[in-house]
Amino acid sequence: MNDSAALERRYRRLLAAFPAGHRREYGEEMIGVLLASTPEGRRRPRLADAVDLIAGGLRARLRPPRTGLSDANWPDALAVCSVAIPVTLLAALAVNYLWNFAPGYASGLGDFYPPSLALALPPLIALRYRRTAAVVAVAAAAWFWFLLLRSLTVWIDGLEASYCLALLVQVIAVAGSPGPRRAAAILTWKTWLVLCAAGIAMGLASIYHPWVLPTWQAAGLVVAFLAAVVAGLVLSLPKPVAFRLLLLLAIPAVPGTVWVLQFAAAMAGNTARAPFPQLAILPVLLLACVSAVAAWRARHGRGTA
Amino acid sequence: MTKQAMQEPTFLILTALAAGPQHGYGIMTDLARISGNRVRLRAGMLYAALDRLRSTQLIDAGRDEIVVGRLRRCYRLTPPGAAELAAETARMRSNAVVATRRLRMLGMGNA
Repeated sequence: MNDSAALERRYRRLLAAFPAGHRREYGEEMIGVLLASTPEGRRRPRLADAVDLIAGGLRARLRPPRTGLSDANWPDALAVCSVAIPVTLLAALAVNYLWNFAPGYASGLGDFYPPSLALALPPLIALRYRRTAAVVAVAAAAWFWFLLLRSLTVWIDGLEASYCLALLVQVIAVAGSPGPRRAAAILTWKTWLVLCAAGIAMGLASIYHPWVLPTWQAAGLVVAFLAAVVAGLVLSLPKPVAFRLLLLLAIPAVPGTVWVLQFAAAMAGNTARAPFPQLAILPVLLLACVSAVAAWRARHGRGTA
Repeated sequence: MTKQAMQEPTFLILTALAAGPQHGYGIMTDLARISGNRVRLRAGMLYAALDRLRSTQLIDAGRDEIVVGRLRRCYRLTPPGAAELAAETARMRSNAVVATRRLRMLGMGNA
């Protein structure tokens, strides 16, 4: 075995002091730096390097684990989410709007088109002014909520809760993310396609009301839609970002999904309007809390290293 | 909440990256040069610091490259990292101004 190979093997042994995750991320790079900084002809690591590696490894092992809410993937997921929600909702409402030109159809969502267009403003403003973008996101959401609540004849149900929560998540994402430029760097054309397709499917659902179908058909459609969106996002985005994005999108998705299934089941029993199960709000609240903490940490949690 | 002062190795790493993206070995040698060989960070501590700085988004990593059969990755300063470095520099400068003024009052005019 030549000197360099023997030295590398010994360095690798010392790198075992580091946690496996650190070795996976930096191990090969560290070996390169260690070999480059060691004088030629040495077969053994210098004592100072050995002490440094062992001490560094121990420190890395003793460092408190990250909570999962402060890792670097959350800001990326929030950035993607800040673009994903308006793109999806705009695609849905565009389909709904275009359907108005079909003879004999009137969607009844006319009031919602202007505030929906306003949803596109926060990501555009965030290209330059992040705080203003967050304020505009709150204003657009408030406008939407006002129209929604005004139009209700009964207290809010699952589908309306989904729209309200989508706008809330949009506010959290705009306020906590590094902005749409970061999102543009992460999004691939496949992700854009998935988001637009999801929006178009939601727009068609607002026209054809699949929840009046027999329960199993409605359930099948919902499951197929969710599976396609999940698979599309996981396959088109880096996985840690995709999973966090899915957690964020689950906040508005849960009440809508529960409501569609409940409504379909109630229709089968000829009940006009399904009661929304109160327990369904618990996972939503939990996810909303997790997202809010992640967004806050993404924005403010940068301690001095 | 009062922010803690930045540790010197962190300050020097950010300063090294303020000149442009650099890979690990480049940062290590630049850091020694900037500090006049007073601070030397070896691989173990350097990569622990780089990991910490990446997790706090003060720096980020570029694409992996293979150079002479070895993995190499460039690190660069992020806008929040540059802002943090600027804030720390302003804090140090302001402290130095006060210290210099008071040393002059002690008659140590060259301080």
